[in-house]
Amino acid sequence: MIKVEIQHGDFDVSAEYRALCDSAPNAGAIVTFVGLVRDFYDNPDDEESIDHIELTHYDGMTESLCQQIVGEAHAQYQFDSATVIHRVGKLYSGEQIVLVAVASRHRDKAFAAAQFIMDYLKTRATLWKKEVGSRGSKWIGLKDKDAHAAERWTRAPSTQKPI
Amino acid sequence: MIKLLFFAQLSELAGCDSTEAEFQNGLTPRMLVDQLESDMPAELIEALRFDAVMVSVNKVMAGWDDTLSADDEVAFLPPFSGG
Repeated sequence: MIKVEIQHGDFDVSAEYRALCDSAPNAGAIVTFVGLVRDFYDNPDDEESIDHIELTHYDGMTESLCQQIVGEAHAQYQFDSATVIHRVGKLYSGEQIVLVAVASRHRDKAFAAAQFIMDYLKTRATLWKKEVGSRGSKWIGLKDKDAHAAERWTRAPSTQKPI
Repeated sequence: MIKLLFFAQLSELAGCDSTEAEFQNGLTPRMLVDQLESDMPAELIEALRFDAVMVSVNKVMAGWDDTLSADDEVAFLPPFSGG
């Protein structure tokens, strides 16, 4: 099972976890990642703070790009099931933004697939984030560290290591 | 007609999310930007010509010099920042 949703509303991690388990009865490992809205700018020692973010997407294209990314992860790691939920709209500090959950026979493929999906969600999906906080509002571009994180999946499998 | 879509900072610079352009044979996304120069803000045109901006046609990633068809939907996509 592959489930991809782009939605305004929040998601229930427990419910998604149970649904993933039900869809993958032979799985021996489930990896879940949840991204949250931070209240700090890139430097955590910075005293300025972020109030909320505004996430926008390209209706229809974002869904198909996410499906494509999950499909590529499946081709590479042959997991049993995966769920990807990405929220859009106005989200306040501490709120959930994204869920990536992967069920697989063994943990190595579940971890790798989840990280592959997450790295490419940041770099290849038509999603844009605006930070609104004590410094005013600013659209966030692709960060070098995210581009670098995604680049590793284009290298030979033997050299793919967590960074 | 060609439908043009602007996202994120590009829509703020354009002052709108979308506009339309007349179709003509041989038209490309790059030529559309040249056409926009006469009636859109200079800041938008400058941003559209920034290397990192990508383009899609009918919700599929495309090239700046791909030939368009009548009624295509062309979107200008600034660097992504999901997750």
